Amino acid sequence: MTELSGKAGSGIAMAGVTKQYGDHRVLDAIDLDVRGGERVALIGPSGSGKTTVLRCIARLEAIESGSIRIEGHEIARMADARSGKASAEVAAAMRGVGMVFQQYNLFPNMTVLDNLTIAPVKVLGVDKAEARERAAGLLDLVGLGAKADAYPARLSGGQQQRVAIARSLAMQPSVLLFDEVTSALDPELVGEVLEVIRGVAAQSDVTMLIVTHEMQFARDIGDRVVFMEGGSVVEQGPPEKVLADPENERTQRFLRRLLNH
Amino acid sequence: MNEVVLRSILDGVVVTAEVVTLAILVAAPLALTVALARVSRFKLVRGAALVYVEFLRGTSALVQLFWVYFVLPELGFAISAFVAGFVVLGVNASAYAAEVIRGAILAVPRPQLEAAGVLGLSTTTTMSRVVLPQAWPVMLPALGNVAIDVLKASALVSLITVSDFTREVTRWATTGVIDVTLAFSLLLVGYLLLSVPITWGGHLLEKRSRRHLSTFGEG
Amino acid sequence: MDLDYLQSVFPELLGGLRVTVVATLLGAAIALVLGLLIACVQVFRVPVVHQVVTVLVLAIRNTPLLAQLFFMYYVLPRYGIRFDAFTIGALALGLHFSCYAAQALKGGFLAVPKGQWEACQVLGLGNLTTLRSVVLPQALPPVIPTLTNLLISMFKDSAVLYAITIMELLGTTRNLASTSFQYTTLFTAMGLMYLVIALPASIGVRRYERRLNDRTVRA
Ligand SMILES: Nc1ncnc2c1ncn2[C@@H]1O[C@H](COP(=O)(O)OP(=O)(O)O)[C@@H](O)[C@H]1O
Ligand SMILES: [Mg+2]
Repeated sequence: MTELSGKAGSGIAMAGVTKQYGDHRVLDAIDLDVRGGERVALIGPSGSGKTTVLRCIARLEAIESGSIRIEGHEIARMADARSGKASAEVAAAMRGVGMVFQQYNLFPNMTVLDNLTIAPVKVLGVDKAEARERAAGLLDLVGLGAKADAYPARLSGGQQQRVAIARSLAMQPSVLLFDEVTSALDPELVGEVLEVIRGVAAQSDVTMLIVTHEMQFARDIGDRVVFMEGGSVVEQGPPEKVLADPENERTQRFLRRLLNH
Repeated sequence: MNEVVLRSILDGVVVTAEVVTLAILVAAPLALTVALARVSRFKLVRGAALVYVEFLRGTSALVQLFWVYFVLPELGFAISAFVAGFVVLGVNASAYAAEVIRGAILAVPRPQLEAAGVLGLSTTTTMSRVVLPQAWPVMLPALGNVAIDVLKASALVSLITVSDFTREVTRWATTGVIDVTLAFSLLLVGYLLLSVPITWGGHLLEKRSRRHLSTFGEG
Repeated sequence: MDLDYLQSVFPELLGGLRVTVVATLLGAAIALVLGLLIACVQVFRVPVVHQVVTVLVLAIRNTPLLAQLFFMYYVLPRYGIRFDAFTIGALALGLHFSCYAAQALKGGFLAVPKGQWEACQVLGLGNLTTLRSVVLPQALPPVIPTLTNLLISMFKDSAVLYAITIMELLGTTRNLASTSFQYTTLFTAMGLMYLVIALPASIGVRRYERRLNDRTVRA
């Protein structure tokens, strides 16, 4: 099988990151480290800032203060910077970061195969034929080898999300961010997507930061579980500890409420 | 710029304002009538209204101006350039305005019609008291654009010898009496200024029309 | 209508129509390119340029095409910008309609879900690739009816080009009439020529639009 990820480096390091929407402080001097090759499940109530953490790491949002490092390179987009444009160095560091969205965000005007090849060809300058070959391999990995020429609209939600995962892998990332990738799916389609993520985790040493509401999945895949609320990390540790025997009262309340659903 | 020139240009501005005002006065009742005909129960009425709209939108106001100005006299209808000007602009605009009004009428939610029907209101009452008052704020922005288009099209009457703003400015500029840069800059700025009251009027009407519609806590 | 006379001058009228069509197509190409540029400037909110363009667009949309045409025809040569009348005409048409095209295109851009732009950013696609390969292919199809309607409007409105001596359809007709005095025949024939092209075209657009709507409703 083809190599799934770039070299595992030193992962993600967020320190003292503050993010505001107007006067509303969404991230409050949050510290969060994900070591190279580590799999961290990020959990917490809705509105606690999980998506915002991922979006800041992906440079989709600017932050007020703090530092975000990817493989040692400072990449944070600062709100007071004169331009939102990435320097060449930052752009290079960001090439190692992939993100999978809740809503898949596949390009509907392209076939599945073109969705997978456009970035490698245009950004990394990979030869077209080579990119297609790699893409075919990745589609096999996510169980969609037969769908290369289909358009996204013809696929089920679960299939689209698997394509989206393959698309992010096509860039050979060293860091992958997952934002509730099964939340938009019908319940019967959740399993196939989680299975694919498990497979990727097993076959590569890519660093993963996974926001999820699937506690069983968080327990299986996470080397560590991080619970956040109100824009900061409340508790973190090994899955069996945080999920089964949390110390913090707020974590206990969150898990209790989840169980009662 | 001497006084004669200035006076003739100002007279031109007045003529332009008159043409626009009269054209809008011609357009308004026609547009409402045609719009109602477009949503009529009777196929023949609907068809006639559609032909009216399509025919007028199929050629430009300028072509229609020329036709009326040059052909009608041959057919025995003497008509002054000024009258031809505002009538043609008005009739032309009525086709566009009718479509705007029709769209706004069709956008009124069906349950409103059903409610009126349950209350036993007649078609006329339903239209005048229920449908049109609700369609009014919806159609206003687009009607404002039609009015701006009338102002813009009014410059075309200069081409059938009406001494409007455009004709007066062009006359003095092309005969070397005033500097062309000054003249045509003035012309553009003048039209821009003339468009301001139309835009404001539209906004004002829109604001007034919505004052009963804002829900509790809004606005 | 004098059909014998019409037959004798028909080739000349067709020649005028050809000029109209060429000017329209040239103007449309200019409008599309300029419109895209303007839409990009507005969507990306390019500092300073964005504000300047917004004011210019407003000014162009609120002043007559004829006044703009005269400005370009008489004023530009003063500053060493010399084009033949036909080029000026196509440029003026293109500039005027680019403002409307920009608005349609901007709407198309903004209708592309935010997640599409974000996916591009996360994949590291540059602005140009994002625009060309992802955004435009999604933004264009829904605005094709609007753009086609603009093309039809340009075709009809291009008649004003006769005012700067261009021998398009209206100019040719006027010219013939000034020697033969066959106003009814000539102007009626001219009106029908515009109609015969514009009417089926706009009916076609509406059909296409309805089909597009049906499809999106069903999908
Ligand atoms: N674009 C935005 N503008 C204003 N507030 C926002 C925006 N995006 C998110 N927020 C707010 O930030 C907070 C955190 O949101 P988010 O990171 O999406 O939480 P989570 O993913 O944990 O549910 C919420 O209170 C949300 O309302
Ligand atoms: Mg979220």
